[in-house]
Amino acid sequence: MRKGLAGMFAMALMMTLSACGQSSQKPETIAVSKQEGQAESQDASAWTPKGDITIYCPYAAGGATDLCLRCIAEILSSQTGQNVNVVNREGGGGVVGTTQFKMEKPDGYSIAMISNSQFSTQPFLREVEYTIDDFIPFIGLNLEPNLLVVPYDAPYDTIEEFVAYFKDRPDETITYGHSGNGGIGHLTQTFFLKNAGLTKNESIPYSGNAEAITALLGGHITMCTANYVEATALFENKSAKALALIAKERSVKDAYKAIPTLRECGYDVDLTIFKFLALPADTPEEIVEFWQGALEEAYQDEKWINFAANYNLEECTDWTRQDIMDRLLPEIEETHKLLQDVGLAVN
Amino acid sequence: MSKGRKDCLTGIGSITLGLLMLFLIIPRWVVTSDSLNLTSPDTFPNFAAWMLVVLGALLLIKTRLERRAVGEEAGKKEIPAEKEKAWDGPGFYTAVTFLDIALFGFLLDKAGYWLSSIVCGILLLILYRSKKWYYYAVVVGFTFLLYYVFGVLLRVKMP
Amino acid sequence: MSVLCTSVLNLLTLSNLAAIHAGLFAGIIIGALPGLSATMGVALLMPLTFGMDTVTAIVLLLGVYCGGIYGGSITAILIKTPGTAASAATSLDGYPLAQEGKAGLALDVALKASVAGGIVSALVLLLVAEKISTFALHFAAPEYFSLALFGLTIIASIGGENQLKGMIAGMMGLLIACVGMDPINGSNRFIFGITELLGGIGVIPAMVGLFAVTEIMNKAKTIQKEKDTVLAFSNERISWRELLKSWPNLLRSSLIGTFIGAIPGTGAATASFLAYNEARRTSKKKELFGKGSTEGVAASEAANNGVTGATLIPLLTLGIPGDTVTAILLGAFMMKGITPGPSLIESRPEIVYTIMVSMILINLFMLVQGRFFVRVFANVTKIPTALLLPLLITLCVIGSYSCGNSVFDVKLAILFGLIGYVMMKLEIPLTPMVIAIVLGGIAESNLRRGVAMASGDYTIFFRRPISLFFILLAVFSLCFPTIRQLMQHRKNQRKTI
Repeated sequence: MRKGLAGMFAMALMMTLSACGQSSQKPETIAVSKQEGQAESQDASAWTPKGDITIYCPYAAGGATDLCLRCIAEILSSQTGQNVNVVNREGGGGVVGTTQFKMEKPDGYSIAMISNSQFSTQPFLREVEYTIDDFIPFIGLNLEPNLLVVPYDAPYDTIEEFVAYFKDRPDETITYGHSGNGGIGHLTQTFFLKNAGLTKNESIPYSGNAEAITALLGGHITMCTANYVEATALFENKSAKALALIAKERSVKDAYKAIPTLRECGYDVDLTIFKFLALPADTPEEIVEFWQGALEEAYQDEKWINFAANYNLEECTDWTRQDIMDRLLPEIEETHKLLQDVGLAVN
Repeated sequence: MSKGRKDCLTGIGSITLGLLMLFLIIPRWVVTSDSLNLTSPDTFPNFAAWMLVVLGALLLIKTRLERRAVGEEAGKKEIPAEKEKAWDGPGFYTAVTFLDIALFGFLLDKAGYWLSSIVCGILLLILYRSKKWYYYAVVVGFTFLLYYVFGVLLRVKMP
Repeated sequence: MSVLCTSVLNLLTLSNLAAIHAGLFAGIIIGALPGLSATMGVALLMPLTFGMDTVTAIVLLLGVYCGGIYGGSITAILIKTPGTAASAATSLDGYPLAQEGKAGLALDVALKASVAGGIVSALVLLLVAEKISTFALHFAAPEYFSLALFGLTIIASIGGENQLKGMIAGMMGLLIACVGMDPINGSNRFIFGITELLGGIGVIPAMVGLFAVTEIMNKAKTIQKEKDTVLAFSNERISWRELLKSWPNLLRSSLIGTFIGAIPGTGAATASFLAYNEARRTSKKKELFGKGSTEGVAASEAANNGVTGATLIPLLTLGIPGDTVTAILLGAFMMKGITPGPSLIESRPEIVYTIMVSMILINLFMLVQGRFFVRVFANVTKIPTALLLPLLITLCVIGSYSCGNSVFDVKLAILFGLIGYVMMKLEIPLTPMVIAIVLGGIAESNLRRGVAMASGDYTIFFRRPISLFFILLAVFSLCFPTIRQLMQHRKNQRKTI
């Protein structure tokens, strides 16, 4: 009996070890040409991945970001010849996933997608256990400028008309929806209304911008923000129209060229979300370089180009680590001030 | 445990929990800022906590009333039926099962999927004094199956 | 009419039919596995559709969705672990039925009821989608609150004879629902310094813990005596005629599901609880509920599949994603450069109608696949307890891990298992807690949102007609059991006089 058990244990152990060995050689699930992958691995001195790679997304599955990452994962998978999986760890506006990523090993097999709000807004809203120094951003992904939108049949078409309309009706409450306190939608709208002198307003937080847009379409709120992906559906269905774009400069996309920036209209705010990919701090330089190269190549892939076009993405895929830091660090200051201005900052 | 006892315990537990919440946990762990919004984050929790206290009290009152009713009907004789039955709480097997599960949870991120699932599975079978060898085989095989379904097919990254 | 014919023809291509079957197959398995929900299934399979033609991609994903929602009932009945939150109500009566040896019956009822619900929903989608969507748009925060409130009043009645304890469980559930980031303020609540809790306590780990782990611990008691015994299993089926005898229950539950599904932001779990409660309230065999009532199983399953077709209404008619699944579907559409909504209906109606018709086909195919799965999964009951428990433990642990890729969820599930066990020993009903966890968040955030919308005026909930309607329903639902008891009392008094 005892011997039997011991034998069992030994067998189990052996099976386990062999299974672990096998798992890193699982065949590709997507049959695409392996030429690029082989070219990479022939360069014996440079680092190449030899196992499963995980991309961490701190937002829920199904969102626009998540889909971007899944597309990239597929491209990278055929590029490197390894499995690339997207893992979602949502919660706390991205804080949960980012905090967990900080603890990943810097061995090149874990990449995270991070958005600037993790550093420019979240740390001032609650205690967070990470700083920008815990990560190495290595390439940009996309910009998500927001548009200020109102229902299609609203009696105003521009910011000026909007302000005039409500100045004439000081008893009407302006309700503005957004995806959560401290979020960029909230901040920009609060700032705009405050500087426009429209004091009778209420902030209506929702859990996710999709809910805010639904409320807008139902006529329950006066205005809200929408990013390009959400706006595409709204404009094509003629359910909403944009008053302004919240960005540093006008859009290059045909659909949105005609929309003035909020700054042009006289309001000094241009907060935009942008997303980038990062590795844990302490990742060796050659691994960072490898991934930078791999992603640069991935962005040239036809699949990505199609995807970005269909989704109306505003890419910042040519941003290097320096570009990202140059953009991020001053923004942290700016947003901190804005949060304090609005009264939300706790740190 | 008789039903009356259970109700009593529940009532007391509820009141305690409610009071704990109200005076210790909510003030400490619910962050309220000088709010921009009209409603406060602690309204709902406070409401729930108060309800716990109220409901617990109601439960105790109901138990007392029922006991009194039963007492009147049964006269003053000692109620043998209410005497403690054989210990109805967690027996050896339940406790062992729970500990095994807890161990599994504990080991999962320390030792990874394979080790913790096989160890805990086999451990449990041993503790159940299972004689049939093929149980063990099935448990190990199941571990493989789950890995295949979750890890490969569904591409969930296993710990 | 011709559009309809073109759509049906479009649908009946080989690749589409294959996609439906593949989607259903994957969906049922994913739905059955605890920890993976239908939503996750759709998200996981979405990348596979990148290269597919639009209709094929969408029907694949819809197959996964419908299959997923149905699949949850299989494990709910067999091992009391709902594979998806939507099947939690199914386990209430399904599991006792299985324990009596009638697992086959329960599974069959669940399958047929699901198909029925799905078809009703698909028909509504096809025929009256636009009207419903206009109505659904009227739902704003006050209406969501009163709807959730109505759902929460179930807590008061579902406790049965342990009514007070049920309400206590419900309050505890409300507290649990408050863990995480405050939905309005964004501030931390009950975090206890653990970052993972910022996302709140997931419904799935909580359910896996409360239902499955508790049951595992409970079953362990029997190991001593019945280590190697096996549950009886009868291959009893229910004929359509038999099932359709309770057509009011089926129809009502399906319609409840359809209604809830059409409202963006409410889910299958809500629908199934509401339907279950209504079935219980109007049933002539109330005592059976909670102990093995096929009506209960049918109500819950018809409602949760009734949500499937209706969820597409806001997406297809207005272009709004009502919940995560439709958000993914929206993403899938946009990947092909198509934007659903009025513009799509105008420019390419055949796509829209093809999808609507496909829902009917999907449900019919589900009937076929379901039979197969039932036969396979039912063998679980033949597994002796001592073997079953370790297997279940591994399944539950991995299940609760995979829904959030976090070991913390596993620990949560274990904790809830302990809580559930204690509650069970004290005869505190578990269901109200689950209902509160599911609905508490919706109720609270919409209450506060509604107040914000009205700038502090609480009467808004009474001034808006739909909201008032649901509040009255909630009040009625709360008082109904007491009123009934009073009337019964009076009847008894009259008898004795």
